[in-house]
Amino acid sequence: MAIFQTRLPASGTLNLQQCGECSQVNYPVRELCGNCLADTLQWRPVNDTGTVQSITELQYSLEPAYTAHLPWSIASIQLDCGPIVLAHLVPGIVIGSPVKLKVVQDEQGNHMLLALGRDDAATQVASRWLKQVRFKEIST
Amino acid sequence: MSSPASYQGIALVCPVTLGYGKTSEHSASWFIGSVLRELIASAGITKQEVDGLAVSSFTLAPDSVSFLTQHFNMTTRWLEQLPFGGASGILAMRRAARAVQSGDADIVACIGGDTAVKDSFRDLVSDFSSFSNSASYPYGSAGPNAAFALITQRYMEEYGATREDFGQLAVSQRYNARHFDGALLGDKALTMEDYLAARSICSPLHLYDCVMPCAGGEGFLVMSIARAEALDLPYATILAADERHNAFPEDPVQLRGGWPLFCQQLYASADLTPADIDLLQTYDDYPVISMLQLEGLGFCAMGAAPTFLRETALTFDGGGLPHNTSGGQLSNGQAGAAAGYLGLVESIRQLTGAAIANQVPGARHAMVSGYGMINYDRGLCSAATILRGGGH
Repeated sequence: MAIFQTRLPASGTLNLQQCGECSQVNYPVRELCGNCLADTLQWRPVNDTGTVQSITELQYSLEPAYTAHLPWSIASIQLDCGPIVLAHLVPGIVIGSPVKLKVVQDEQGNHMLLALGRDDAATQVASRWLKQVRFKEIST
Repeated sequence: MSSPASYQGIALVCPVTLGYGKTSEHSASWFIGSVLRELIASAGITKQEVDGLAVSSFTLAPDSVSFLTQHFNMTTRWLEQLPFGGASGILAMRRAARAVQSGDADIVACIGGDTAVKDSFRDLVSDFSSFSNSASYPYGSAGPNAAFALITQRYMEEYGATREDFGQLAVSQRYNARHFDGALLGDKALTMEDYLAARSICSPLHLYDCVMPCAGGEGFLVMSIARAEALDLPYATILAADERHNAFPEDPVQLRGGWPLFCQQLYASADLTPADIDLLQTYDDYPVISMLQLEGLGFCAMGAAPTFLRETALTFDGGGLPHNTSGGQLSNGQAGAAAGYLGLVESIRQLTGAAIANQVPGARHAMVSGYGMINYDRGLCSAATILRGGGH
């Protein structure tokens, strides 16, 4: 078994757990709504935009899959739909930048969040980054 | 909101620190049992007189505090296991004090103990919680270093803190550690030049910003003042203590812990001000968190810790605010949950005059702070207490 499980569905666009009672978008993944505790969470497409709150460039990792590609940048992002997410980060983005989130797949098949810019060049930057670290788009 | 009742009549005695090492062949129960043996010996009591046991450990599983009563062949009438990481010591103290006040126990041993073996740190952090396993560890797998790098980076951008500001903490604590026997890194001097020249781990964190996971044990006894005096034990008393969990969940990055929610009440209960505090022990898993404690506990305004550090000596003998007087985790290592007892145990040593080369002259009031449990992107537990040297 993998040492971690992101538990994100296989969709290239952002789906998160939304509450059927109070509409709160929940993340990280859980079983009951963090706001109203209702047992009505459903995976739904949500607004994929947000703002970068902080960034770190890792020069160290506990997992060989990352050690091979150091340094590795990650960011914390406040999504416009509510939650804070941690995500892989393409180059050239600073704290305060507007970003959007997509779901990509690593070499082991884990579905993971990637933050990229919202400008015209962003898709190309993201494609180059994916190739470089051997991650893949999820085609849905 | 009501406030905590007085802790009057309660004594904290017999500070014990033992067995720090980078790794160990012993189990967590060895560390906990060894601390217990030393507690009993230094109190001059029998094992049978310890009728309460509070334990914190990350590496004790599959055993628990219940199983330890059989390991140590003791019959108790009160048990607690406190999984609160860096807040465990203060939380154990609070609960043990209430047990003694209410007659549920007479003498409670509060012990944090953990072992460390190769790869045990990876095993701990990769599956620390369901949130971290699904939503933080997968992103670069750098463990708590990544979460604290994100907090530190935002703190630097928000308040203009520099690496030198964080370095003040690391360098002064190393100085203190060099005067404390048994500090894991106490035999190596650390200058600001060394600090700044260290390799980067997770920007902006460099080597000396990161605690070294290790093995070790910490503990103390909680009993009535009457019992402590009958046993002729020097003791400290609890003037105030409080805790908060998941404070300010709406903050996008943790630039404050839960301390501002109870700081004023803490000083009011103790009838003291920050200027009356003779020594401060913060939970220093990373320097930025010590800064949040300086701010949240009223030593300076939010965002003003960098300025405070530039103006205040933090060494045990510097005449400023003696801080992490045995070296903290940054110079002692982070012995798992025992790290949550380190500052409390050191404060009891200081207030009972039991510190040796690092004794703060005339230490009467100590503040101890705890912080713990990085479930996802921030530490959830914040705790603090003010102690007074009680006499002999």
